[in-house]
Amino acid sequence: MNAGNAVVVILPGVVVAVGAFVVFLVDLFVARKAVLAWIAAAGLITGAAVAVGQWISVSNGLHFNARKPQTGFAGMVSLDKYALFCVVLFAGIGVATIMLSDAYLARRKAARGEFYGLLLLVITGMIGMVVSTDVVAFFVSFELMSLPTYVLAGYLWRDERSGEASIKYFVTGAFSSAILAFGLALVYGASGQTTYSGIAAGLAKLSGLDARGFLVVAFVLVVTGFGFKISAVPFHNWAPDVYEGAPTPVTAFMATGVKAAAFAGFARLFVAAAGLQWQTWAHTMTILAVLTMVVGNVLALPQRNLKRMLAYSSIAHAGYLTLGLIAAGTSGKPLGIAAILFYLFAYALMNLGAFGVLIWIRNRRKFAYTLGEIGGLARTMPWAAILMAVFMVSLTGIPPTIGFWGKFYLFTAVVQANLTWLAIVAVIMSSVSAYYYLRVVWYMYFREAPQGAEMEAEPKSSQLGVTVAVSLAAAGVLVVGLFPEPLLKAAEGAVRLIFGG
Amino acid sequence: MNALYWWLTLAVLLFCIGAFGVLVRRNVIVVVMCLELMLNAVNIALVAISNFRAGALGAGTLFSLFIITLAAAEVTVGLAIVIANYRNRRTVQTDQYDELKG
Repeated sequence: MNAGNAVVVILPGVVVAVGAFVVFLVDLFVARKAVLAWIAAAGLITGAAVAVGQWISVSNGLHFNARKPQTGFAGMVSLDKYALFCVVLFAGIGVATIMLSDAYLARRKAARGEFYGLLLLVITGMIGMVVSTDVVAFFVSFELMSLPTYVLAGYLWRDERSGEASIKYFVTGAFSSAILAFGLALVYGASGQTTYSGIAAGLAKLSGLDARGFLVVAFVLVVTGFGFKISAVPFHNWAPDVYEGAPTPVTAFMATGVKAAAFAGFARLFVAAAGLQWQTWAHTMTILAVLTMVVGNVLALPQRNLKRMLAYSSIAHAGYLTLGLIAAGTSGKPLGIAAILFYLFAYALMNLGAFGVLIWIRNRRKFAYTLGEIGGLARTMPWAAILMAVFMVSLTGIPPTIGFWGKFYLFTAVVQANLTWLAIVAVIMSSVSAYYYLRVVWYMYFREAPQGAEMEAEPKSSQLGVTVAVSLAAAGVLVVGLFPEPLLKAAEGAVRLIFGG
Repeated sequence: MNALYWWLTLAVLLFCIGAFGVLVRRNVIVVVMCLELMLNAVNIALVAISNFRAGALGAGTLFSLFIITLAAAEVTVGLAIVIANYRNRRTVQTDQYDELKG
C-alpha cells in the first residue's frame, strides 16, 4: 500500500482537518467572523460529500473490493461503510452545531475564529476514532477529540460557570484517558499486537487462568475509560456540571457528537479486537448499563434546570446505547451495533433539536434554562413550543417518532441476544423518563408565563440558523419516524461490512 | 518471576500513586502533575512490554512516543484552563470551584 492510497482511506478526516486550518488562517484576516462559520460548514459538507462518494464506490466495488475493506498506514486505518456512515453523521452534527452557535456567540460577543476551528478539530478526532483499526491510532484520535472539547467547554471562560465546567471536564477527562491508556497498554501486553485484527489473533492464543485474569483487569480499565467518556454511572458525576456550565451549543455538541464518536469508536474496538473475549467486558458493561439507566432516569426526575435535566437524560440514553454493545458481544451478531448506529442518529436529531430550542429562547430574551421560565411558551413562541414537544415525545420513545424506532431496534437486539430481563429494565426506565420529558410539554402548554419573560425586540443577529436547524431536526424526527426503513438498511449495511456477517 | 513482572509492578505502583493523587489532592496544579505521573506509568509499562515481546523497537515503544506527545499537549491545554480559572477566582483549590451543583 503506497502513501497515496493510505491518504484516500482517511480522506474525509483530512478534508475536515484542512477545513480547521483554513478557518484558523482566514480568522487572521477577516473582521466579519460569520464568514468563518460558512467556511467551517463548507469543510464539513465537503468531508461528508467525500464520504458519500466513497460509500457508493465501496458498495459498487468500482475502486475497492467490497468484502475486504481498504486499509492504510500498515493496517492502522480502514475504509469501510461503518466508518463512512459515522463520518456523515458527525459532519451532520457539526453543521447543526455551527448553525446553533452563530447567533448565540454573536449575542454573547464571543464570535471568534477559534470556536469553529476547534470544533472541526474535534470532528477530525471523532472521524479518526471510527476509522482507526489500531489502538495507537485510536488513542491519538481519542485525545484529538477530547483536548479541544475541554477548551470549547470553557470557551466563555470569563463566565465563571463556563470556566468551572472546563476545569471539571479536563480533570475527569484526562484521568479517564490515562486509565484508558493503561488498559490499552495491558491489552497490548496480553496480545503483543496493536492492530485490532492482531489483538484478536493474539488474544485467541491466550490460555490459562493467569492470562484470563490479566485480560479482565485490562478490559475493566478500558471499560472505565469508555464509561467516563459516555458518562455511564458511576463515572457520570462530571456530566451534569459540565453540561450546565458549558456554552449551550457546545453542550449540544458534547451530548450528541462526542458521545456518538465514543460509542462508534469503542464499539469497533470491543467487537473487532475482543469480540471473542466478550465475557471479559460484557459482564462489567451489564452492571454499568443497568446502573446508568436506573440512576440517570431517577436523578433526572427532580431536575428543574433544563440543561441539567437533559444531561441526566443523556446519561440514561448512554445506558440504553450500552445495551446494544452487550447484545452484540453476547450474541456475536451485528444487529446490536446496527441498532446503536440507528439510535445515535436518532439521538443526535432529538438532542440537537431540544438544545436548539433552548438556544432559540435564550437568543430572544433573558433565560436561565429553568423549567418555570418556559411556562406559557406555547403562546409567546408557538413554533418553538411545538418543535420542543416533538423532541420531548421522541426522547420518551413514543411513536411515530424516530426515538420510538431507535429504542425498538435496540431492545429487539437485546431480546434476540436472550437478555430479555435487560430489555424489561430498559422499558420500565424509559416509561419513568416520560415523567420528566412530558413535564416540559405540560409547562409550555398549561402554565402561565413567568414575570419578566417578555420578548426582546428581534436581535440584530439573525435567528435563521437556529430556526432552520431546529426545524430540520424536527422534520428528521418525524420523517424517519414514519419511514425508518432506509436508515436502518444503511446502518445494517454499514455493520455487515466490518463484521463480515 | 521475570524482569517484566518487576517493571509492570513499578508501572502499576506509579499509576496508583498518580490516581490516588488525582482523587485526594485539592490543588489543581498537583492534580495535573499526578495526571502526568499516570501517563508516565503507562509509558513504563508499554516500553517494558514492548522490550519483552518484540525488542526495543516494538509497537509499544511507538505507542509510548505518541503518549509522551499527547501528555505534553494535554498539560498545555490543562494549564491554560487552570490559568483562566485562576484569573476568575484567584484560587486553584478544586473544592472552591462550586458554582455548579444540584
